[in-house]
Amino acid sequence: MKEKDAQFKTDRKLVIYVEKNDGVYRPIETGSYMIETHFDDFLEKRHKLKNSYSDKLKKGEISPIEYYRVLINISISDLASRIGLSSRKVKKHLQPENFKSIKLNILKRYAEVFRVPVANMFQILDQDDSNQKFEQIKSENPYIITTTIREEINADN
Amino acid sequence: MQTTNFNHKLAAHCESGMVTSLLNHSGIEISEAMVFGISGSIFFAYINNPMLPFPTIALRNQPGKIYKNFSKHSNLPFIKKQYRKPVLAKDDLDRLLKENIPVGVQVDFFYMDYIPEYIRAHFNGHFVIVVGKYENKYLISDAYTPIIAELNQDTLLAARFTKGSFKPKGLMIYRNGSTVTIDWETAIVKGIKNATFNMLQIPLPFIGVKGIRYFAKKLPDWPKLARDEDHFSDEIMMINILLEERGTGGGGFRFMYAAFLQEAAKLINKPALNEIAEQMMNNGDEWRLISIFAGKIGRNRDLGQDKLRELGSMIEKRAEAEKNLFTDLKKIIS
Repeated sequence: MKEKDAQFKTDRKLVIYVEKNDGVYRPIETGSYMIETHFDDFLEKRHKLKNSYSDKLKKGEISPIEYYRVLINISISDLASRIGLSSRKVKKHLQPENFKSIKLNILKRYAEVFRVPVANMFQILDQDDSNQKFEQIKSENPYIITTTIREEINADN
Repeated sequence: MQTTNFNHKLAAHCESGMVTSLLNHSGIEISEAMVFGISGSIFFAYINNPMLPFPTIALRNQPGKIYKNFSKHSNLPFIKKQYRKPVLAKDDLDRLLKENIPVGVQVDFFYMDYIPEYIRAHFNGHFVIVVGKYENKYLISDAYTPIIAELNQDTLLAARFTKGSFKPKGLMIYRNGSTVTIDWETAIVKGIKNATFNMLQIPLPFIGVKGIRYFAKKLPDWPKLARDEDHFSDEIMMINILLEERGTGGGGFRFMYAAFLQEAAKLINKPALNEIAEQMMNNGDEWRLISIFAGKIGRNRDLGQDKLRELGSMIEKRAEAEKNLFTDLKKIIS
């Protein structure tokens, strides 16, 4: 690839190997083609997926395990291996009717893999309002989290 | 923000970038392309196993092979340690940092909080260099970030002891400071032989040139594996990300390999490698066209069987081209 064809202006920086004017192949720092051209589409799909799965969750069609599993795009086998359970057991936990029988210590292991507080297995933090930011701070108790809603004040208001 | 005397650099790929930076820090001048080439890391595999949420492709050998193969082919040792107990891994890392020794560690990419959230995913094959510590934060030189980042000590420890495929077991790699002279010709020849073996001779249908053909053949089945149109669009566009964005240096590592061949031609005085380098660069351009095409049809949801066959045909042509390329390369160094 010629150096002139590898010019992308995004905040995310990448190293790409190009052919310089003198014919030598060297690395350059540039931006991301995907972010420059298709990022809006990616974000839209992600938003749709989140909304569709939170609707399913609220209707009781899926368990919170399935909700987070789909959002972070992890396979059942990988999840099972990280939790230390069989895939068969994890498949059961994806069903909403079996969620209530999951022991708290197992639920904590799921939350660790999803990197959310255990409390978020029972709630959805809706951050659609861009002026609202949630901050969740761990406590010494592994099951207790402090959630703060911070209003970001718009200077124009 | 604390300062460090470590010369942080962006790199195309995390593991080759880590090896290059550790070597440069210990006084060995070497480029990332040379590390990648000597380790024989150019590769192709079509991977479809239950550990993955969707079939995928690998364009380099498996995580951990770059530092291992580089060390083996160049006869240049790294100290490597793995642990059962996280506390020992943490104590050892802290001790080395106190001695001002930068340490490469294998981590789960999902825990790298300084990387934008939309990029992060559970993947145990990420490599970073820990270059310092202050209070409860580590200073991280990650090839994918323009500046040295900070990571909470508990987060790094969790990232070093995740379970799943390629679990890191607290892996640390560092140089002991001994000076070594690399026999470039031997190292380069071993690296190229390794690469040509992987691309041409592994008797599995999903690896090397055979794997590229297998990928082309399997593409029309992908719609059946997707949840819905958006999901399928994402997975098709992932081809672009895997080829261009996820630490490849562009063109699925083929541009970086071309740079290696060009540098090797000069270093060991084998002008024939220059011709292969040029062909490899053109081959990378064709892979890039594939990735742009995948991005476009994914974006437009133009995902009918005709487009998948067109994409498959472009990929099939790469199989033929790479078969010829690696066969010629093998002849040059044998």
